[in-house]
Amino acid sequence: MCLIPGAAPLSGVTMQQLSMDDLAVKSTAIIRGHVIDSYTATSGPAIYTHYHVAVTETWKGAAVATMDVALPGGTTGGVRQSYPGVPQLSTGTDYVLYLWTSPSSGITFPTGFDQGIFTVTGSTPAGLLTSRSATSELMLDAKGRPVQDRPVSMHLADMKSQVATALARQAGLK
Amino acid sequence: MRYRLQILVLAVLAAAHANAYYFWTHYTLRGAPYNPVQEKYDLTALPNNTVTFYVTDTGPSFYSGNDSFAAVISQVRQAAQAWNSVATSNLRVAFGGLYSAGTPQNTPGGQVIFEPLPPGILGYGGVSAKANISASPNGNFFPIVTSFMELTTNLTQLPGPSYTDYFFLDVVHEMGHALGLQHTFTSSAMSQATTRSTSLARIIDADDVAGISVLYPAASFGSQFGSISGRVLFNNGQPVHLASVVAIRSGASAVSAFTNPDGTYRIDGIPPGSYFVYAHPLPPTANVVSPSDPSGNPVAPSGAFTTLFYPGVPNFSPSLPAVQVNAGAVAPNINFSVAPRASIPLYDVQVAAYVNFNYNDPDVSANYLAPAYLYENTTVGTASAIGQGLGTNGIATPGLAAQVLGAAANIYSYTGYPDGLGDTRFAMYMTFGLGAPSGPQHLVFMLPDYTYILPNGFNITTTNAPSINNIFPNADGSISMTGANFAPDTRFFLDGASLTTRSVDPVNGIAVAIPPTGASGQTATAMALNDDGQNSFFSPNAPATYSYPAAAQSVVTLNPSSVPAGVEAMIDITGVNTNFAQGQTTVGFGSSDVFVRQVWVLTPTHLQADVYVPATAVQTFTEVSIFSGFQSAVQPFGFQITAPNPRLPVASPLLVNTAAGQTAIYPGATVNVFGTNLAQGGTLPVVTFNGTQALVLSASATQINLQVPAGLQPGPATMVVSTGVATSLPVDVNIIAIPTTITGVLNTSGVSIDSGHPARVGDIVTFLVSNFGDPVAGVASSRVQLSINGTTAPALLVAPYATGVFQIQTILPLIAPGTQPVTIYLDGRISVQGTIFVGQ
Repeated sequence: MCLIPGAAPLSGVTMQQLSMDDLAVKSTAIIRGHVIDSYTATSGPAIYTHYHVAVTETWKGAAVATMDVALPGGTTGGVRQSYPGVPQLSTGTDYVLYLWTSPSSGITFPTGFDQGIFTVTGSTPAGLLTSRSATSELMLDAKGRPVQDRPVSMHLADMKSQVATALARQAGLK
Repeated sequence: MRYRLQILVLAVLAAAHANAYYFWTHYTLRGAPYNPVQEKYDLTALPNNTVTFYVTDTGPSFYSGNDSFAAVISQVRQAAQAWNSVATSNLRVAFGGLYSAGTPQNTPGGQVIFEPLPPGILGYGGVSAKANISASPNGNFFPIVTSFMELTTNLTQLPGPSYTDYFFLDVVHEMGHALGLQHTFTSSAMSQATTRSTSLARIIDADDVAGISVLYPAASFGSQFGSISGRVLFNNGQPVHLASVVAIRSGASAVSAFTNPDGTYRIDGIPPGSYFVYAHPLPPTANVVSPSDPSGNPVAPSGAFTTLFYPGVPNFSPSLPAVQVNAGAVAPNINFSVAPRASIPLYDVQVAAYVNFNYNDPDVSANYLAPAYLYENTTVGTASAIGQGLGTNGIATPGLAAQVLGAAANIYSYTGYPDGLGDTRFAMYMTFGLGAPSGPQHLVFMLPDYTYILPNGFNITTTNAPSINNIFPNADGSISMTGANFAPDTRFFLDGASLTTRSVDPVNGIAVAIPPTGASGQTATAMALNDDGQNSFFSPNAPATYSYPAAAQSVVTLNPSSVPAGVEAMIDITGVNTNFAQGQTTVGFGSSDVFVRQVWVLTPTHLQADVYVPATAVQTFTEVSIFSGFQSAVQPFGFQITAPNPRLPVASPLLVNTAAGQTAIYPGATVNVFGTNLAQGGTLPVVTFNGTQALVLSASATQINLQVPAGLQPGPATMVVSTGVATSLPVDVNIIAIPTTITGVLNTSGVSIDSGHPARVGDIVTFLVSNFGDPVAGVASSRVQLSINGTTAPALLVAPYATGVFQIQTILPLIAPGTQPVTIYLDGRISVQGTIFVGQ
C-alpha cells in the first residue's frame, strides 16, 4: 500500500497523470487543427470558452470539418469566470488535441486539459514537431502518488503512429 | 543574525491594499500606480459578512470502500470552518448544506459541484465575478457573485477517498480560490501542489491568513501584524512585474507578496519579528490567472531573474541582515536590483521522506511522505527531493548544495540518485540540533549561480506518528481506541469529523472519545492526529474503522415551511428518528438567499433556526437539509420563498443592548430592536418574549426601544412584534443569564465610596457584586479581572460576602480622578458597567 499522508492538497486543477497511450485510449476524439475563433457560453452555473477548431486531420473519432472544443472560464453576460491552471487555446495556432465529450453535458474538452493539448510547430528535417510544456498543478500517478509532470515533445508523425498503435492495441489488433 | 536599523512608518493597514498577495487582479491604469483592483466578495451583499457554501445534492457517483457522502459533507463543513477561523479577516465562511442544481439565487455564495470531468482531471476551482467594477469605502473591486469547486464524481481515485486528510486539504485549497485567493509560493494552503506543506495540524498558514486578511481586513489586522515594502528592479533599472517577495525566518512560516508592473510591492500580515527577505521569479510552471490591463488583456510576469536576498546577495547566509517587522508598522525601502537571466534553473522542488524505503524496489516502497517528517531521535535524518533542475540521469546538477535555514538541523551530505521511475532525486542527510523543536523547517537549494528556497520543506518531529489499531464501542456511547504514539494533545477523527476526547493515555495507548452522531450503517474511518502534523494515515496499514448501527430514516417537519422574501423568521423544526446535538447540527435551506443566523437544539428531535431572507431573494422552492454529525434529513423542495409582503413587520433578532460595553441580551436589559414596519400610526407596538409582554419605551417604523421581560430563562426566547395592523413572524433571541452587576464599592473601613468618601490611587477597594459565581464552589481570583477606566487591575481577593453577593478586592490603579467606569470580567464574561469615585 502506498499512501501520501499529509501530502497532496490539491491545486487550481488536480490532474491524474496520463501516459500517451492513456491519452489515446481515453479520448473520444483526436484531431489536428487550428483554432478559427472562440465564443463564451454558460452551461448551468459554469461559463465555458468554446473554440471552433478547423480540423485538418482526424486520428480518432468521426471525421468532421470543425470541432467545438471547450475549456472552463470566460466572460459572458457581465460575469467573468476564471480558474487558475486551466489552459487557453490561441486563435490560429496549429494543435493536436486529444478530446473527450462529456456524456452528461455533451461538451467536448481537451482530455486532461494541459495534457491533451499539443502545439504543432515548424518543421525540422524529420518533420513537424508537437509539444506541450510541463504543468505544476498537482499530478498524481496511477498509484495516487504525486508526480512531477514533464514536457513532452515528439515528431508529429511519431505521435500519429503512437496513437494508431495504442488504438490498435485497445482493439486487440496488436 | 544582524539587525538593520530602519525607519518604522506607521501603517494604515485596514484599507484594502492593491499589491499584496496574489489575487485575481485587474490594472485599471496603464501607467504607475496602475491601480490594481481585485476580485472579491462584496461584504455588504453578504448577510453577516458570510459566504455560504452548498454541496450539490447529487454528490459523487462512485466511492471507495467505507467512503460516503456523509464524509464528503463533513469535510466541506470543516473546510468552511477553517477559513472562518481567520479572526483578522472580516469574511465569515459557512457550510449551508445541500442544494439542487439549478436553484436560482441572488445572494453571492459558493457551490461544490460533483460532475463527470475529462479523463486526467480530478477537480478544479475558481470564481465568477462581475465584469464591472464596484466602489466601496475601502476601494474599488470586482464583486464575486459565485464560486465553484468542481470535483470528479468518481471518488475511487484521488482526491478521494473523502475521509482522508488530503481530500480535506484539497477542499480547503479550492475553497481558498473560491474566496478570491490565487496561488502563492510559500508552501501555504494556497501554494501550488508540488510545494504545499500544510497539514491538519496547520490547515491555514501565515501566508493564507495574510492573503485573506488583506482582501477582507478586520480592524485588528493592521494592529496585529506588520509590513515590508519596497521595489524590485532589474539591474538595468527596469521594473520587475510579478516577482514574488518573501519574508522568512526560522521557526515560522513565510509570508509573501507580488510586485506591481512598476516593481513596487508590500507584504502585509507579517507576524512581528526579524526576517530574511528575498525576491524570486515565478516558476515557468506557475499556474496563475495573470492580471489584466485596462483592456482586459493579460499582463505577463517580467521574466526570469536570479533570486536575491536583501540587501542584494544571491546566496543565503545566516549572517545576512534581517529586517525587523513590528506590529502596525511598515519596514520600508527593502529594495532589490536583480539580474535578468534566460531561464530559471531550479524550481518546483518537493521533499519527501521514505519509510521502509527499498532502493532496489522503489516503485513498491512503503510510505512516500511528502512533505517529509523526520524523527529527530535518529542518528541521521534523510530526506529526498524531487524537482526541476536537481539533476539528470540520476546525477545531481553540478554544484548543487542544500542547507537548512536555521539551526534546527544541519545537512552534512547530499547526493543525487536515480529513483527507478526515470527521475533524479536529491538525497539530503542531516543531523538535528540538540533540543530542536518539532515543526516545519525551510530548505535552501543552491546552484553556483542560483538559489531556490523551499519554505517549510520538511518537518522535524520529536515522536513517531500515531496509529490506531482497534476501536471498541462503550456502553455509554463513547468509543475506546487503542494504538501507539498517542500524545496528551492527540486529536481523533472519524470520517474527518473531530471527536470530543474524554481521555488519552499515552503510556498505554488508549484513548476514549465521543463520536458524532452517525449515519445509518456508516462505516467511518478513524484517524489520530498529533500536533506536529503527523497522523495515523502515515501507517501503511489499513486505517481502523468504526461501524455505526443501522437506524431508521430521519424525517423533519418545518413550521413555517415558507416565508416571504425580506423577512427575519424562526423556523421550528421537529424530527422523527433524529438525534440533533448542539454544536453538531447544521440547518441548510439550499439557497444562499436563505441565511441561517443561528440554530438552537432544544431536544434530539426539536430545534429552532433563525433565518434571514433578503428582499432580493428569488421566489422559489429550495432544498432543506439538516445534518447532525453524519446523520442527515433532506427534503427537496421543502422550503419556499414567496413574494415580499411590504406591510409585514420584520424584527431582527440581533438586539442591541443600550448599556455601555454590553453586547449580551438578558432579562431586564434595555435594548433596541431594529427592523421595518415596527410601529404604525404612532401607536406603540406590543412585543412579547415567549408570550410575556415587554415594556416598550419608544418605537418608530425601524426601531423599538424596550426592556426585556424579567424571568426569562437563558436560551432562545421567541420574540413577536404586533403593531395592531400586522404581526411579525416569530424570531428567536438568544437570552443569557443576568450578568454580574456591581452593587456597591467599599473602602477598607467598610464605608461606601462616593464623592464624600472618595477612593485614592493605591487604596484597597472592595466591589460588591451580584449574579457572580457559585458561593459553594468559590471563584479563584485568577479567573477575575477588573477594568477601571480602561486600566486593568487584578483581583486580590474573591469571596462570598452575603447571600447572592460576592466581594472582589483590588488595589486602585493609577487613574484620573472623578467618577470612573468599572467592569469586572469572570472568565472573560463582562459585567454590567459600574462606577467608582476617585479623589485627587
